[in-house]
Amino acid sequence: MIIDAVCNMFTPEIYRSRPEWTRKFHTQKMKVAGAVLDGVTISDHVQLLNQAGISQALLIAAKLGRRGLEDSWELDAATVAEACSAEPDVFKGLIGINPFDSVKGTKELEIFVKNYGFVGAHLYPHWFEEAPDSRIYYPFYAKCIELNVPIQMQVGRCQRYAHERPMRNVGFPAAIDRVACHFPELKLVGIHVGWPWTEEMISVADKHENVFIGIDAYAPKYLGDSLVNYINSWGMKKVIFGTDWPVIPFDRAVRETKELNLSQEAKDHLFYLNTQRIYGLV
Amino acid sequence: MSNLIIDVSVHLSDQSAKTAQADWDRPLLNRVHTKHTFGSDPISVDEQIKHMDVAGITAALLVATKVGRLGLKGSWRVDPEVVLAATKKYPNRFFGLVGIDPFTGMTGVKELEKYVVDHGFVGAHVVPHWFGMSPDDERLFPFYAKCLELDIPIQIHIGSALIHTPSQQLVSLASPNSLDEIAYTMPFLKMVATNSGWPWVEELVSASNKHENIYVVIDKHPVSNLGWPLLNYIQSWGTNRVLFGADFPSRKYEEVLDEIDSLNLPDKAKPRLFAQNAIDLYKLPF
Repeated sequence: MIIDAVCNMFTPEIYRSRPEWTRKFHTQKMKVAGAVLDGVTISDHVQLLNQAGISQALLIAAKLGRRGLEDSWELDAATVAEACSAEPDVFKGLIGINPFDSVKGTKELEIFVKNYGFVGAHLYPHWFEEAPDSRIYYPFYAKCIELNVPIQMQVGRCQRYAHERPMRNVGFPAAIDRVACHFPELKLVGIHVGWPWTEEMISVADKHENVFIGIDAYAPKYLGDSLVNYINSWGMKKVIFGTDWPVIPFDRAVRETKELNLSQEAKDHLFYLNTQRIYGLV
Repeated sequence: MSNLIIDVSVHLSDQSAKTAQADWDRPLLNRVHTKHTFGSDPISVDEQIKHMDVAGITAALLVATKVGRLGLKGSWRVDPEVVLAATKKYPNRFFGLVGIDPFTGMTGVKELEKYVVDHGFVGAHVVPHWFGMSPDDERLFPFYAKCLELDIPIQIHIGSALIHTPSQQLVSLASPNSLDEIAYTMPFLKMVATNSGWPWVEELVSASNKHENIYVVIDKHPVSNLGWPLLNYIQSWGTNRVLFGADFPSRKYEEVLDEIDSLNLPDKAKPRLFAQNAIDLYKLPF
């Protein structure tokens, strides 16, 4: 069994609604190629997952940047909720966070978790130009604890998405350490590996019982010996599989992960046991 | 000379300004503004000149205002071309100030240069808290450097921020002490702090006294309400550091002038406050 813990929706309508930088970013920087660039319907999405042997995926209702600023974008959580109800065995929703929504945002988080079965929250701190330990996110962390759902957020450097709007790196593992100290109960998944601070991310995940690492958005063959060793041994229960599709194609992510020098036990934990446990999927 | 009065900080209140501010649902400001003679009526450039004539205001510095990040609800821009047109129509009555959006980077730096070098604007103007930053934010330093290069002063909004629109909750980030930080590496930048720095009036007096290139504008808040440190600064140790501003049209010129008149400022302080400091600082042709 395999669960993709970090997955995007990419229907033709969604793709068309995204800002202009998206296409250039995906084709030139992420080297996404092929039919996926025309958008992928929900049923084709499920088929792609099946072909790669992935049985479940967490879909992100992503929020990118303050509403109104050029290049900002967000996916209506209702769209993700529809996909989840169309394919309830495959998809579970993650609700995106815009810290400027304040109490309206924590309310939205609560509604989508309670009424639509979303299993967690998702945050791109760089898109809001504040590090994960900024107070602007703290009400959302508190709400996640109240609802007993994990939050996943990008750690490591961020990309330059729209050329005209470069964003600072804010996802330092040290900021995650600070949040974890303030919210020991918060289940916090640092997605996108944490590179170039992978080693530091391992140290934070090891330090805090509730901090985890997602290996999405990077081709698994480049994860590095240190992280592979962590998955195989002392961090077997700390790392989860993901793709950040369409950034990494499902089949490639699965194939390259299987080719890593991992024990069967480690693979089982990485591919689904940890995600099931952290997100309460069983 | 002694009758000259120069208002160093005026934001346009014409129809386009009022239109741009349409979604400023401002509970606090509305409370304040109900006292205003002009309410929320637009005031054209021509009408503004008439008001100035009646009150005996010689000239005004007109800001090509830039507040709020582009795209966010409630952000407002005054096209420098509009200010330029006003300065051409009323030469020596209006002088332009270029507004700064720190997010425009080098494009903004070039715009600043263009309006100063090609069009005779006499200074720059920035409201850092509208951009979520303190005046000593690094992103403003290229603009400060350009001001130094062009040898022009920059007006910086100092003092607490208001909530002009619920869509932009402005944190009060503009403390007078941030000017002290700027002066640390830009010791010769001419900084003109507006709004008397309220509620940090004494802190601003202290910064202005410490650095001879930090100036104070007494626009917006009635100066008689601000306590003896500022009043004392105007009439004695800071006589050449304080500039007149009325915050027109929030307050009527006559009202402001009457209020200052009632302070019975000494003869040496009055002309400096009303005009000479501005003439010297902005190199105005009077």
